[in-house]
Amino acid sequence: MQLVPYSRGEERFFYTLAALGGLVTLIGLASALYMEIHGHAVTGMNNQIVWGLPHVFAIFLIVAASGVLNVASIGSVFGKVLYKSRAPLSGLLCLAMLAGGLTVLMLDLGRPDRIIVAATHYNFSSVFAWNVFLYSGMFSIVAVYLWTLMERRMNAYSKPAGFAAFIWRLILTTGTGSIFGFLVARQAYQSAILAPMFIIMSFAWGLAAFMVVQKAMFAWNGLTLHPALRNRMKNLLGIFVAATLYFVAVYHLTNLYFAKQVAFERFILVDGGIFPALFWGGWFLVGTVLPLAILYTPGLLAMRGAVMVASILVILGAFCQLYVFIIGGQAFPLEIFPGLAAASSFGDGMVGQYSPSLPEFLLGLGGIGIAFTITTIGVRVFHFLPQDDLAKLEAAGHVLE
Amino acid sequence: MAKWGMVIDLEKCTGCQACSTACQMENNRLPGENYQDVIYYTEGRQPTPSLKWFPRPCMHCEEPSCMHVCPTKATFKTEDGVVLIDWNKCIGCKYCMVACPYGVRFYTDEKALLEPNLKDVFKGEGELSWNPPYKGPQQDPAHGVGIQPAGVVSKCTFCYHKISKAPKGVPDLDEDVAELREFVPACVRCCAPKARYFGDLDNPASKVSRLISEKDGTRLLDHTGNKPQVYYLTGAGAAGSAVPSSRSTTSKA
Repeated sequence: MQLVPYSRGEERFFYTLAALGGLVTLIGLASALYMEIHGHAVTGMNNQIVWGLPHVFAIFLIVAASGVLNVASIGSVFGKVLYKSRAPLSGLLCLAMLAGGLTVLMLDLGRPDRIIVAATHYNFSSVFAWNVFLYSGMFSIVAVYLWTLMERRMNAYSKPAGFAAFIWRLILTTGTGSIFGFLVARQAYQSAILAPMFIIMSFAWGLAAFMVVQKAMFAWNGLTLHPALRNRMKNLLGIFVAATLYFVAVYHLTNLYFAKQVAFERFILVDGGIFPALFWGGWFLVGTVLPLAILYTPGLLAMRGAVMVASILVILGAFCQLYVFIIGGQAFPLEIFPGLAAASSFGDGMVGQYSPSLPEFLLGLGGIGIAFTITTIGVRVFHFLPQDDLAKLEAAGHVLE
Repeated sequence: MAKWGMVIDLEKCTGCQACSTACQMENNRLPGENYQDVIYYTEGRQPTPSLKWFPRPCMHCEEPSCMHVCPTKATFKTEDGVVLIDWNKCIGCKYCMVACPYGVRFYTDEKALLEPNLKDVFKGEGELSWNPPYKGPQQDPAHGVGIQPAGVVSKCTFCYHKISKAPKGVPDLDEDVAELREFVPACVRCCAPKARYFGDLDNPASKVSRLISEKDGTRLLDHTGNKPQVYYLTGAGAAGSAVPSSRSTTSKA
């Protein structure tokens, strides 16, 4: 295939984007250094809420990284032709988002300089340690998968490689959900449903992220996604968003059925201050109801950029959901004396206070900056813009009316 | 090998916080961040609510959640049943802090709970979070003993720097026995009403074993299955002093 050289304008645009991504990344790194020097004292975190906004960004990026690979899996594992041309971009996005998320997670450690300790001292009863193994394995498997897609001689192996990546990412997201699911101490967590819930959330968030990137790339290249293809992908997004709603509803309804969990549910859903506001206003309304309305109401869907807007709303909802889940889960006081009002000089019996600080936000943004920069450079170097062969799609049975 | 454990008699405890202060001084803790605290809670309804108190050190569980979740094995259990943190291995992920059902773990570099910020007044050297004027002579990062370094988690060690030097085979570390006094944990030694006992839970002849057996020692949040090695004596029939997590209650003050 003859590659068309980039025009001067395209060159300039690429370097502008790369510089922007690099700048955001640098600001994130500088924020991490600032927090590293001064500690928790300059963040909103404290001894009650030890995982703050950086964790929200990191978990989003890691979970979405797993889900974004779903696009490739649908092509490779399930043989859907429409998604095959998107597999390379899907793989690249997976690696980029994973890199961004893990960087934030690592820089939020108290001792990021000891990352080598984490890599050499495994405690196999720790889900966290399993995740270190799963994340590094994910990098390797997706890199091999991309290689089988890009190298013509290796194309025959793309299906088994894609299948391996598919299985691995299911385990990986199970592991991420289990970080919380295995925590018996906190009422927000300790639930087996969290593992499958994280898997389905990864599908929705990953596909939403993919749709945003794809739309941006098409727009920058003056291309338009065929409406029939757009419809298939938006329907899939709608199913994933609805499935997430189902799992979250089951999680909360199950909790509400257990009398010992009612106080916690009341805190998250009714009178917990920012948390009910973010749950109902952020995740439920903005991140679930509105996207579903846009995706399934013909009048709204016909509006320009409707799917893009729905995808962005899903991502915003994801951040709200994770904020409620991670920070709200820690803010609710430990029930050391169930049914009694307790107090101590160490915050017992009190709702944990947390106000995110600018450095925390910038560190999280830096993770997105890393993902953005890697994607921008990767797409340019490897020419990963999805190319739809409409004739081939029609031959495969897709109705492109 | 002994399995060290503690017994706290709630009928004797006056909530004076001498234990907390002793812990702070012994373990180079910042004010308000001592490894052991006294929780106050209210029982009963108006017009006759009553204030209760409950001393809470690390429970040094037989099945410690904190140890199981630690990705680097920085949190470990010694042969004599003490849960410790190797500060050289701790990466500061804080997973243990979220996993502990008792809320007895501390991170460094927090906002000062009291002003002036003593970390600014007594600045730490190197990795150490501060340089307390009353610091003890010991610094044993491999066992989480001494001044807490930056970026790691810390917790009660049962005063490991003391108990680990105790003669082998003794059933109890009793401050009333002159030759054992130096090996008694600070909170036990400073308890004015002598509400605390420290000894070998595996030794049926130890005072702690006998107290647990004879006075129905109970454990906090026993339903978690963590099996704490800190037991509470609540006084038979004294409903007001029973461990709240281990009995039914219908009222919330």
